[in-house]
Order: sequence, then C-alpha cells, then structure tokens
Amino acid sequence: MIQAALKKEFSLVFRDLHSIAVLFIMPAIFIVIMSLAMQDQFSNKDDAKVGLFVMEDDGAILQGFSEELKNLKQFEIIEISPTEKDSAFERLNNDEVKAFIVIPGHKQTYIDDDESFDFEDPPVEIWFSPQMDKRSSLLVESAILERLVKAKIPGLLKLKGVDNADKIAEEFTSGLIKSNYIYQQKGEAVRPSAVQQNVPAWLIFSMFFVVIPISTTLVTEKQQGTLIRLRTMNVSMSIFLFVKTLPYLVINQVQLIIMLLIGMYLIPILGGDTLDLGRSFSGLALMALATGVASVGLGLLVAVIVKTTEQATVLGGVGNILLAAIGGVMVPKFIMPETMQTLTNISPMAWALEGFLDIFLRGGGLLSILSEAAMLFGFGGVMLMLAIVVFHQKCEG
Amino acid sequence: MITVSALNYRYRGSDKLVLDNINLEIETQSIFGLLGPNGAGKTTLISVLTGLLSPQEGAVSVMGYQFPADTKRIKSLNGYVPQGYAFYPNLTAGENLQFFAGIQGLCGKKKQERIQYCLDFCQLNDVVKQPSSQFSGGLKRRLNLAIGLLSDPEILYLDEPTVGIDPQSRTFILEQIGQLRDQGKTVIYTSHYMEEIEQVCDHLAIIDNGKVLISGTLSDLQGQQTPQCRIGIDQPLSKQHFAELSERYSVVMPHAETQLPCELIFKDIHQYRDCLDLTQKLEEYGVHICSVSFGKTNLEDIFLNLTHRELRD
Repeated sequence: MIQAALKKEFSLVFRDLHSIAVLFIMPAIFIVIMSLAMQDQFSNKDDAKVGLFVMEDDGAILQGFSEELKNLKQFEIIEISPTEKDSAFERLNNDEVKAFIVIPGHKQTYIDDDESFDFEDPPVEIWFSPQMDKRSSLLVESAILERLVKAKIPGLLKLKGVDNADKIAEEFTSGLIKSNYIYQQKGEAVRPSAVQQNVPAWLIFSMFFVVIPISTTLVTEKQQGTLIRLRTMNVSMSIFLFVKTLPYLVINQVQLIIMLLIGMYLIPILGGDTLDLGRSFSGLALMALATGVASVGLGLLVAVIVKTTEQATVLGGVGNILLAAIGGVMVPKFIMPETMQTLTNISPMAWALEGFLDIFLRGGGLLSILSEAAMLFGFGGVMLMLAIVVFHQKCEG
Repeated sequence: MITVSALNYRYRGSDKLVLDNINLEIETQSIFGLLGPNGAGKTTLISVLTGLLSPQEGAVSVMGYQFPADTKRIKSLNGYVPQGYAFYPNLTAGENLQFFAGIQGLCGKKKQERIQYCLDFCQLNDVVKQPSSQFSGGLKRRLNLAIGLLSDPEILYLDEPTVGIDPQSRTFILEQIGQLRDQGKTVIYTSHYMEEIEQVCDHLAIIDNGKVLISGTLSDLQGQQTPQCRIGIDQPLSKQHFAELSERYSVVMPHAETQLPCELIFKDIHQYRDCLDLTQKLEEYGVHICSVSFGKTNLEDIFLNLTHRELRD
C-alpha cells in the first residue's frame, strides 16, 4: 500500500509542471535575486555607496575634504560646482542623490585649520533625500564627524601643549576601534555575506511551499471522487494521509540540496559570495528533516480544511507569505524592532531560520539546533494529528 | 441477501432526514436498480451500504455481516464505481489500475492477474499506456468500472455508470453488467435512465425524498399500477388548459408543456367516459389527437404516478 501510494504521489507531482515551478524554480529565482540584491547590505566589499554632493558657497571645492570622504569608500562622491547648487537640491528631492553636503565658504578655514574653533555655527550642513534610510544617514553623519574630529584633535592637543600632536592624533584616531567577527569562513574571521543570510531564509520559504501541492492534490482527490472510492476500500485513511506526506518530505530534501547547490555554485558565478555550509552536516540534516516535517504537517492540515483548489492556493500561498513575513524570512529579524522580533517566535519559519543560521552563521552543531528541531517536529506532529482528526470528522458528514 | 431495516440518516447540522425509514431486501447474484431523481437519497443510501457513512438508526446487514461491527469485512466484499471519474487523469490507465490494486493490498502475481482481467473485461488493453485524461467519455467510464472490479468484489455498486457517454459505450457497459450477474455477482445500480433500469435490473426500488416509494420486480411494479391510456397530441398543451383538465380528470403530462413528444396520460382506463370527455375537450382547445395507446404502464409512468414529477426534474 505504501509503495503504491508513494509511486502515485511522485508521479502526480512530477507531472504537474505548476507544482515543479512553485517548488523548485520560484525559490531558486528568489535566492539568486535576493542574495545579489542584498549583497551590499552584508558585504565586506567597499562598494556599498551612497550618492553625495560636496560643494561650498564661495566656489572653491574642498579637495582635501572630498578626497578623505572618498577614502572612506562608503559613498560615491559627486563634486558639484556652486553654480549647480539649485539643481542639486532638485536632484536631491528626486532621489537622484541621497545626501547633499553644504560647507559654507567662511567655514572652509574652520575645516582646514586645526587650530580654528568656533562652536556657534555648525561648519557643515547635510541635506538628506526623502528616501534616505536612517542607517545610511547616520553613516554619512559619522563619516563627516570623523573627518572633523580628526581635523580638530591635533589643534586641541597643541592647545594643551602636547608635543608631536599631529603624530599622536593620527595614532589615536586610527587605533580606537578594532572590529572582529565571530563568523569564520575557511578558518578566517569574516563578516557573513548576504548568501549566508538569504539562502537559508528563502530555502525555508520554498520548503513550506509544499503546502500548496499537498492541499491541491488532496482537494482534487476529493473533487474527483478518488478519495471516496479509497474510503470504500479497506484502506486506512490515517495511513493514507501519512503516506501522502512522505513524497513531499523527500521533495523538501531535494529542494534543500538544490538551493544549497545554487548558493555554493551558481551565485558565485553571478557575482555573489559563495555559500559556506558550516561545519555540522548532521545538524544540517536534522534541521532539513525537522523543517520538512513541519511544512508537510501544515500542508496536510490546510489540505483537509479547504474545499476547493482555489482556497488551497490562496490559503497555502498567503499563509506562507504571512509566516515568512512574521518569521524574518522577508525582512531579517535583526533589523526588526524589538516587539516584532518577539513576534517572530510564533512562526515555525522563524524556528527553522534560527536553526539554519545557527549552523551557517554561528558555527553551531547538532546540540545547538536541538531546541529548534524539537519545536519543528512537535509543530509538524501536532498539525498531522489535527489533520487526521479533522479529516475523520469531515468524513462522518 | 442485503437487508436494510428502518434506516434513518440525517447529515450533521441538518434536521432533515435524508433517509427516512428505509426498508429494503436485495437478493444476491442479481442486479438491483435504485431509481430516483437527484437529491432523492440514492447516494446517501449507497454510502451507508458501502460503509462510507455509519447508520444512525436502523440496521443494515450485508451477506450476514452487520454494520458497524463488521464494517471491515463488508468493505472487503464491495466494489464501488462512483458517478464521477474517480481516478487520476494525470496517470495512464495502467498506472491507475496499478495504484488502486496496490492500495487494496493486491501484490505479485495475483495483482497482475486481476489487472489483466479488468483490462480484458473492460476492453482497455489498447489504451493501457495512454494518460486517462485523453480518454473519451466512454473509455473513462470503462476505466472507472475496471477499477471497481479490481478486488473481485461480491457486490458491485454502480452509481450512474453511463452518464455522458455514446450509445455504443452504454450498450457495452450494460452488456458487461449483465455478464457480472451471470458470474454470480450482486450489482446495485443507480440511474435516472429508466430504460437502462428496465433493461438490466431484476429488481428495483424507486426512492424519493429519502423514502422508498415502491420496490420489487418490474412486472410486480407494473402489476400494481392501474392500466393507463396514453394520448399523443399534435402540439404542447398550455399550462392553463392542462390545469383545467387535471382539475376534472385523472390526467398527468409526462413531459414539460414545451417539450416533445406531446402526450397526456389518462391514469385509469376504467373511467372510459371521462376519457371520451377529455378527447372532446382537447378538440375544443384546438389540439388534435395523433395517437391513443392502451396497456401496461412503463417505469416512467410508474415513477410519474408515484412522485407526480418527471425523473429528470
């Protein structure tokens, strides 16, 4: 019986091109697009730039200041002559540039001369585009503040009568902070790439999409009368429903392998970073199985609740998107406010994501993902039992 | 013998009895016809007999086994061919048969023998590798029947097995059903095609609004009816004229007033004076009589007399 059911489910799924598209092609495209699109957000590279104008009132571009900002390699510096100031504001308003720095001409001395101190008027004004996000705004402010502090520290030291003020200031400002990353790739501590964050997120999203084919095939079986025919036979419906989940569990594992391969081999070809699988294959396997159990359990519950394929598609699709949105798949959890971060805990996708990130980002092993795996197995088991109970209740009319 | 005694059934959340005090005795090794319009309760009755629904009140016994205690044993006796095409259109005929055989626990040589028998019996050998979604209506019905026969059932339930197919396929299926009886199988056959029921069934019951109105052999049923007179007319009778006639005479119109053939049934030929009056009245309405026939009632007439409506209403 199990063999017959498995063969039938595999045949039905692999002859349904729409299901294949939903389960394999769509998430693969998502992973590629999101990993490449968000590359700058996580990148170690210096190409995450913000458009910036540097100009001043009396016509002379402050070459030194501009060069130093360029050296920070965070922004694309577009120098603009004072005659273009009005059009510059227009471009700012149209979001053609993200920020516009104005340095009044009479403050030029203040910036260039480290012994000139005037706390009455700010020496630099910054205008931001309406679409400039807070993080980038702070980055621009910090960069300019850093430049000003660097310029003024030697003067302050000289005022205090310190010898070698310039040398001490240089050493002081360059040696204040050392950044370290716990995450390691090939033995080196590096900042994790967008691929490390995005592949597990969209992988989980795709695994939960089995909800749609599971529910639509069961609804079709109800509508065609095959389910009624099976119920007239001595076929245990509980076993039938359970067996129905097995092919999708296998499909989940195939999805996982394909998505990981995309992260490891395709995305680097397209210019992204290479996915590193961490150091715990047993942990990865357990998370894959646990996520699969949770997704097929949910799929089966949706399948027995809905009456039409339209309902199955809407409830499965929209439900997945909501779980992904809440669970930190679409918007990374770490950029959510605290309340929303707490709310993510209600989504099984968040549990799965935490488990995968434990392995991919935090160097975790089997023990570190046990709690997430247990929650996912529990969720899947409860969904499966609920599905069987609801199914039997519905059968009794 | 299949015995149904004082069976009641109502669906959850509904006050209406879908099966209302059903009493039936169905002989084994025969073809039993269950006749009734849509919503009469035929499918619910079959659902109870096949074990899909549990009897709420009353008793059902199938070849000596009782519901619900022997449900599993009863199910093993059954084959069910639903009205819909209850198979997987994305699978080939062969794959469908393999799946339904496997899911019922058939395996090895026995499984292959049963599949081959069903392919032969329903003449599906030429299309065994074709996706069933590409089948004509007739082939789909044959595959539906073949799947129902896989387990070599003692009792075969056929729910409207000839809906939507061409006359040749219908004839084929009816002939095969006759063969099943010859093999000693019990066939329970629901249909709203009365000519099919007349053609293949040994016994029948007419069911409407959840009640068995009448049951027995066709000749029994005909014997219980008063001989009738069938009057063919050259044009449809208006509603108003028919209302006037039916108020005065024991007359029914078997087809809707706009449908052809136009005819009236005078229900009791013993009231011959009334019958003569009726013919005069028709002439007054400008309606001419084309034909008059006397004799035994057919199944359609019996149904009309019992329910006062057409089966296809």
